[in-house]
Amino acid sequence: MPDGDETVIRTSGLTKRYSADTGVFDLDLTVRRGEVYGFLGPNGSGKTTTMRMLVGLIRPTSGTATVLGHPAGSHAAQRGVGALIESPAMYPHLSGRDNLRVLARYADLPPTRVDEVLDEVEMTAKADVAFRAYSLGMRQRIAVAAALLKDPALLILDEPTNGLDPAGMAGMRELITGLRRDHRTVLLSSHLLAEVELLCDRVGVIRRGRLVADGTVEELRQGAGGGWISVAVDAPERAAELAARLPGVRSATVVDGELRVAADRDRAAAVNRFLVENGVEVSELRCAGGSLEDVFFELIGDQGESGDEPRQQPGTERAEVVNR
Amino acid sequence: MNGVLRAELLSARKRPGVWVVGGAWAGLALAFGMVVPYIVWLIIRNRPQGSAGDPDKLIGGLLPDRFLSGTVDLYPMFGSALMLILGAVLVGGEYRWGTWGTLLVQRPGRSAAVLGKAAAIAVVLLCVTGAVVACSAAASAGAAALSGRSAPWPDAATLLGGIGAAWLVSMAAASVGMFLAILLRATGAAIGVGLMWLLAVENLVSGLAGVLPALHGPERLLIGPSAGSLATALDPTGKVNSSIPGVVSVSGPVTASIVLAVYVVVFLGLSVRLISRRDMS
Repeated sequence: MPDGDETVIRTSGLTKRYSADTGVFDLDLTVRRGEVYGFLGPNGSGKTTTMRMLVGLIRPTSGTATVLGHPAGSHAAQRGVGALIESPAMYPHLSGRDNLRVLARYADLPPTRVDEVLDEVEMTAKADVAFRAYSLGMRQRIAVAAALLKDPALLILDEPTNGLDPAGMAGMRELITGLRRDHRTVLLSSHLLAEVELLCDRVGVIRRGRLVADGTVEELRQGAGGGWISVAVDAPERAAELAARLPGVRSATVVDGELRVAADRDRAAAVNRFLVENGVEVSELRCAGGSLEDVFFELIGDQGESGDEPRQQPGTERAEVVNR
Repeated sequence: MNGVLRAELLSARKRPGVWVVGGAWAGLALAFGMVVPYIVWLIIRNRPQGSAGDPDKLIGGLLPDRFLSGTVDLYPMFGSALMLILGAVLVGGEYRWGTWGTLLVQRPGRSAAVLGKAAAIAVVLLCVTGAVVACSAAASAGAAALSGRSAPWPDAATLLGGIGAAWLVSMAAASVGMFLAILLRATGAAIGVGLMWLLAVENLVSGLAGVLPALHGPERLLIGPSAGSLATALDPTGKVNSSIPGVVSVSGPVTASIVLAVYVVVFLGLSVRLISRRDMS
């Protein structure tokens, strides 16, 4: 367990009970200084409620939460936190710049900070347009700018890429990477699992208000059994015997007449080479499982919490998995 | 709280609803307090003595010595209703747009946020009151010039007292509007409930108090009758202006001022308490 100075967020038994099975229950979460922590879960699983508790908008039913060493929502904690929670909520009649000026005044920040954050999210050129006239992506950028206003040590971003086009998403990734470079801590919730896999040092998965997994992406993969390599061969039984001898292969079995090798996907070339060298004819080879998406679905089950569609078949394709 | 006040003033200054309600009140006060009575006076000024309507009394109410009480006379029913709407609009928008969370994440301290908003409303209402009194004064000067009559202007202390009275009535009504918007988490519902209280319940109590002495006590605790008492105290004749609906005098100016100030304190306190205790989701 990290010491107090290294822990930016710590929750202990954090509970917000809306009903017997709705809310957040007994959440123990630790986010360390300088890491990007991915907070995953289906809609209605408790991610946003947790984030709201961390910024003091919602009071927990029981348990404790400390942020930057201070009780969540306290003056001292809020000073170092920037947050974008759910959809961007701003005054529609004000321009992006005026919205940020209002928020800067709330936080007792100098007006120059507004120009700096507008520049950071590349909205300077459109800053004087009324917020109501912005596209969803532009609104998201202004909301991110608002979260950056205080130059926070901790940034809480709830689905920050919602509504962004591919260029905007790339920009957001760059921004978060830059924040990590500056040793800032980011708590990031996103439905884009590939993005989380790319950006996050550690990941927590929440299901029905309970944290069901917490660790690095690699740890989660290992915990979920890792990925596998499916190989279509002319002699599956013999191929399984051969493949089982290869280093890095956890097991080799025959499933539906096809060789299934339990190994990380970076072993695929070696498996192929080894089988061919040993006289096995390989007609098809594909990697499956082991992505964060597969791990995620394994952890949350076959269905989301709030009537989400059933999961898509796990496979090689990485895609947005919730709100499809 | 200085930062919150400056933030709220920036937001209010650029909000169309503030200009619409404030402008509407200034226009209505001018129209019903000055322009319409003047036109009526033009029509009836040559009527013989003793016929329906009293032209001298009518034009007398528009001249500089009585313009201030005439303006404050409009507050018990009309001004307070519009200021309640303004209070509800300025706070209810936070629920409509979901901006409470955005604000409170920036600035710790929910009490500071609510009190900052209240301070901004107080400044806005002072500006609206100043504009209404200035418009009425200009119209009064015009009426005096056009009718060829003269009357002394109220002294500075009376003028300040009149502006203070109108502002206090406005603050009491706006505080109720603000509280209702927070309680009901909506602008429309707050306006509906607030207007029902001010226009229906208060007038009903006031009306019934004429025949039911038991209601005299509760009547003194209402916004409209307290506003009417202040307006009557400002009138040089000391008489109730019965030509304007809702104007009654039930207490002295000090008691009325205290009642209205208690409204401000109580409803602001309740607003702070509600915002401080509730989850912002």
